[in-house]
Amino acid sequence: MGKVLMKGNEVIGESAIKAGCHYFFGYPITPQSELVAYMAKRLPEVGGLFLQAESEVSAINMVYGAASAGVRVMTSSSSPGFSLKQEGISFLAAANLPAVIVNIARGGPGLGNIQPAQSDYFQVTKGGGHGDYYTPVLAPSTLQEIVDLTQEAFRIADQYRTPVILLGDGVLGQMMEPVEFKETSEEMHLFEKDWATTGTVGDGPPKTITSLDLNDVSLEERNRKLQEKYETIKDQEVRVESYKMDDAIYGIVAYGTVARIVKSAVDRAREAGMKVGLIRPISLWPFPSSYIRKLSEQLQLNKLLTVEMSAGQMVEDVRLSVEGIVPVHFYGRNGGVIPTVDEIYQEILKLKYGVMV
Amino acid sequence: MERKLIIITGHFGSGKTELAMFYASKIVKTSKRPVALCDLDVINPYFRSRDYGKELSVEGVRLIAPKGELLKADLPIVTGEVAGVIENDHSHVIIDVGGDKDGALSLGQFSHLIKNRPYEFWFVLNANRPYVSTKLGIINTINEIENASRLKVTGIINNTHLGEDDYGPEEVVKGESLALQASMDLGIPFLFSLISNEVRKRWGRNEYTTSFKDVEYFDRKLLAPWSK
Repeated sequence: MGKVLMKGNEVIGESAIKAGCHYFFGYPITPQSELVAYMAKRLPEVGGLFLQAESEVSAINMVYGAASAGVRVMTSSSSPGFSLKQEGISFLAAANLPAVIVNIARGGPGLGNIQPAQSDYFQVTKGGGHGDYYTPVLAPSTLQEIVDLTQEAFRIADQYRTPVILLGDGVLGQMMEPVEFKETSEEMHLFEKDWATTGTVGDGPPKTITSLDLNDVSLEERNRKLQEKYETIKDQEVRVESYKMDDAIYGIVAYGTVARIVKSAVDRAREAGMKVGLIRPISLWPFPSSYIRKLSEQLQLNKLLTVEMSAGQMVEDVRLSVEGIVPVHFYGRNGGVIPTVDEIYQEILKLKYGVMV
Repeated sequence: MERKLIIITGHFGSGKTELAMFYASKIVKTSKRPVALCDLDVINPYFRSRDYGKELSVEGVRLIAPKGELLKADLPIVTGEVAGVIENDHSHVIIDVGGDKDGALSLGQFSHLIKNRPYEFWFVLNANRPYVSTKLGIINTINEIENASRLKVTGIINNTHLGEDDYGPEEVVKGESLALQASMDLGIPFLFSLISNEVRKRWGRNEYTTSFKDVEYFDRKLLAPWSK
C-alpha cells in the first residue's frame, strides 16, 4: 500500500480500524470532529458500528459496555469533552476494561478556545478521574507515529486490560502529512478475552464486570492488584526518543507537536555550535523518568529546559526525574498559542549565556 | 482583465486555500481592479485563509472573513459581506469554500447571485487523499458538491502531492491522468496542475516535468509551526 495524504484525525480513525477496532462511540468537538466524521463514514464500510452518542458521558459508558463484550473499541474528544469522560475512564480502569480514548487537546481551562494546547497533561498522566488509577498515555508527534501508536494503544489496552489514552493537540489533529499503513499483524488479535461477558453456555459460573466492591478488604485487594499492574506497565511500556543528545550538555524535554518545533530550534542551535539535544517522551505515563535521570548523569548535563504548550505541567515530572541534580528551566506558551522556532532558540541561548538583556 | 468570479472547491484537504491565496495574489498583480478573497470555510478550524489576513492585505488582497473574536470562533459563520462582493461586478472575487458537500452547502445560499453572472467553479484534486484517489471517487465528490452548492463545476485542477515528503514528479502525472479521465467523463475541462516552487526546484528539468500539461507554480503559505 502506497502513501496517502491524511489529516491527523483521519489517521487515528484509519489506524484504529486497521488494528481491528470496529466500534466507535463519539460526540463531535473541535478540533477532533474529523475523527468522528471519518468513523461515521468508514466504519459501515468495514462492517463496524459507529454511533453518535447524546453526550461525551454516554459515549464513554457505551465504550464500557462494548469493552465488556470483549471487542476493540474507541472514543475520542477534545479537552472539555474529555473532562466529561473522566468518570467513565475511572470505571474502565477499576473494571480492568481495555479501551482507547483519544484526546486532541485545545486551549483551556473551561471552554477555552479551539486552538492547540498541551494543558491536559496533568489530567491524562495523574489519573484524571477519582480513585487510585493511572492510564497509559501515548503522545505521537508525527502522523506516521499516530499510525503506529494508535495500534500500540490497542495492544497495551488488551495486554494489561486497561484504558489507554492517545494524546495529541489541535495541530496534530488538523494537519496533513503523508502516511503509510502497514498490513495489520497477527499479533494484534492474539489476546484471548475469556473474561468478556458474552454469555455462558453452561461452561461455568456467570461472568460479571463491575467497579463496585462494597467490602473494604476486598476493594483494597483489588486496588493492590491494580497497583501491581501499574508497576508492570511502568517497567515494560516506557517509550522515549532522543535527538542529538550524544554529546549534548543541554537537553530540551518536549513531547508531541512542541517536540517538532524544538527539533528545528535544536538544529539551528547546533549550527551555531551549541551542544544541545532533544529528549522526547513518547509515553507520558509511564514517564521516562529513569531514562532522563540516567542521561543527565552520564552526559553530566549542565541544564535541562522543558518546553510545553501549557503553563508548566510536564516540567514537574522532569524535575521529579532528576531530583535536583540538574537545574530544570521551563518555557511555555498556552491558551492556544504555539511557540515559534525562534522563541525556543532564544531560550536555548539563555541556557548558555543567561538571561538576555 | 474582465471581472473574475472564481469559486474554489474540492475534497476536504485538497489544497483549496493555497490555491485561493495564490490566485488572489496573482490576479492582484495583473489587474487594476480590486481583489477580494472570501473565506467561506465553515469546515476547518485551522489552516484557513482568514489566518493570513495581514499577508493578503500587504499584497493588496482584501480578505472577507468573520472579524475580531469571531475569526476563531467555533461557529459556522458566513459574513454578510460575501453577498456584497459577489454583486459588486467591479471587483474580482475568489471564494475559498470548505471541503466536500458539507462545505459547499454554505455556498448554496449565494447560488442565485452567482448563477446570473459569469463565474468559474474550480474543483481541486489531490489524488493522494482518501475518497478522491479513483475516477469514481472524484466524480461522486463533484456530483455531491454540485448538488449542495446548486452550481456547476467548470474546471478541474490537479494538486496532487505528498506534503513534505520527498516525492517525485510521477505523483503529478498520476493526478493529471485521473483529472483528465474525470474531465472526459464529466465534460468538465482540465485546467492546470499546481506545483510548489520548492518542489519544482527539487525536481529540476526531467522527462516527467517536461511532459506536464499546463502548470502553475506557487509559493506555499500554509506551513507547519516547525517549518516557519
